[in-house]
Amino acid sequence: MYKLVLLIALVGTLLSQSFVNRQTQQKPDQRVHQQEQADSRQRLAKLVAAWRMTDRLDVKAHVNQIITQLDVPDRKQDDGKNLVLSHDLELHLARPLLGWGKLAVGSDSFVGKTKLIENEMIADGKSVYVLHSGKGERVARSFAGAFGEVLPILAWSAPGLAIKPKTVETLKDPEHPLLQGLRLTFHDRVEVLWSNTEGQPVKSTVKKRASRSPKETIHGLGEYVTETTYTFEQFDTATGGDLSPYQRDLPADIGFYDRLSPPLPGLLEIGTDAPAVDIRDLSGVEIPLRSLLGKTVLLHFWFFG
Amino acid sequence: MYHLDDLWSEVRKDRDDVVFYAVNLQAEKSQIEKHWKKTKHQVIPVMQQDKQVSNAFGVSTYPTDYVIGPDGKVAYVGTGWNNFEKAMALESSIRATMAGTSAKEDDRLSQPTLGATRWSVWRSDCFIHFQPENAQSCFICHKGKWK
Repeated sequence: MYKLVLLIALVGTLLSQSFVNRQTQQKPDQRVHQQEQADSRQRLAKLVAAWRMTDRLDVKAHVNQIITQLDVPDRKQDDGKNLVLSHDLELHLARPLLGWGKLAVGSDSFVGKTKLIENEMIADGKSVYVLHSGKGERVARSFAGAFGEVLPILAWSAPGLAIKPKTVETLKDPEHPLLQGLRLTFHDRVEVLWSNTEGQPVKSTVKKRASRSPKETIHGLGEYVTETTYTFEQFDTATGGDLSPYQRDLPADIGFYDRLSPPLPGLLEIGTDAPAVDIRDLSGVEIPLRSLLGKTVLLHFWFFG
Repeated sequence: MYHLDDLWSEVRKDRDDVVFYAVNLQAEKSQIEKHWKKTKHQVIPVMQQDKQVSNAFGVSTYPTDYVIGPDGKVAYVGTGWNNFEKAMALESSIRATMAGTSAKEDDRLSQPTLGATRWSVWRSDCFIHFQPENAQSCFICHKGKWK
């Protein structure tokens, strides 16, 4: 408790400092600017330290909020202690897709590096969903324009994602008895999802093997293990306030998962007629597929970036 | 994509009734031209407007490969980035379609015989090595780099 009070005091001081600094920011002098950036970095380092010191999620949320408000030019960078703040942005991007309400805290700690498995990229008519990974944001930027909206997502909740968990087990957390846990075991990762009694996801932990290089990913020879925790606003609601309404069993069947993942729009089956559409060559001339009758045609749908 | 370049240059040696298209999601001509210049791909780049072609083929995962036979019917469909099984399934279906048979009748490259023995294939500058002991262990060397 003493520690907690100390932390909140620290956080409050930092917040007021940043407020004062912004008010005095009058001269566009380069030296002043550099000094401010250095100060911001220092404040960020302190905040990150505070973030790491505590296990209390509400404190983390508070600190995170301040970090978001801080005008730190390199807040996306790793601070050298494996706290990668850019993932907040990814989680915020994921928010409208998941319909999970406001995300209060999103932060990852990595053991080693992560790699996006390129297969795990799903696009429906409007958006592309990039599985959450260390590269999610960069990948999203590189594909912007080709797809329209790019949405990084948490793996298990991807709408339309064909990957289904192999096993589903229920879990109990002795510290938070009113939360229901599900352990989903996939072919390449284990995800633990904690929900409140209304079935809202509250916290999810993803543990998976990550590879050293893209080439190794293909063969599953990854050596690093990544563990990623996502925490949602509802966690505070579920654990902080009146806990009595949150007593209900969470379904432990695959159907629970299925409702979160409607099936993909279908590919054409073998033996059906290819649709009569036109492709264009680079000079803009239309090539009707019908004109290619009599030839064996390979259509490789792809993108680069 | 290089595996498609290699495959195409191999199958079109004495045939002119086979064509490989790379249907790009990117709509910008200059972007595609630049990429093709850089990578020297041989597969013909084509564009589509508003993802019309992708939608017509129900493509929601990239990459996706379709093989359309001379009769205008879908002979093969597969998704995902290139791996050994997929490359072999694609190749066998193209060869079978060109030979006028269905993929199942082509016993040289179809899946059941794939695991029978340890074998290697040399292509122009690509080397494929397959070990039956472990279905996952396939090695592809392209331009001196293992993939």
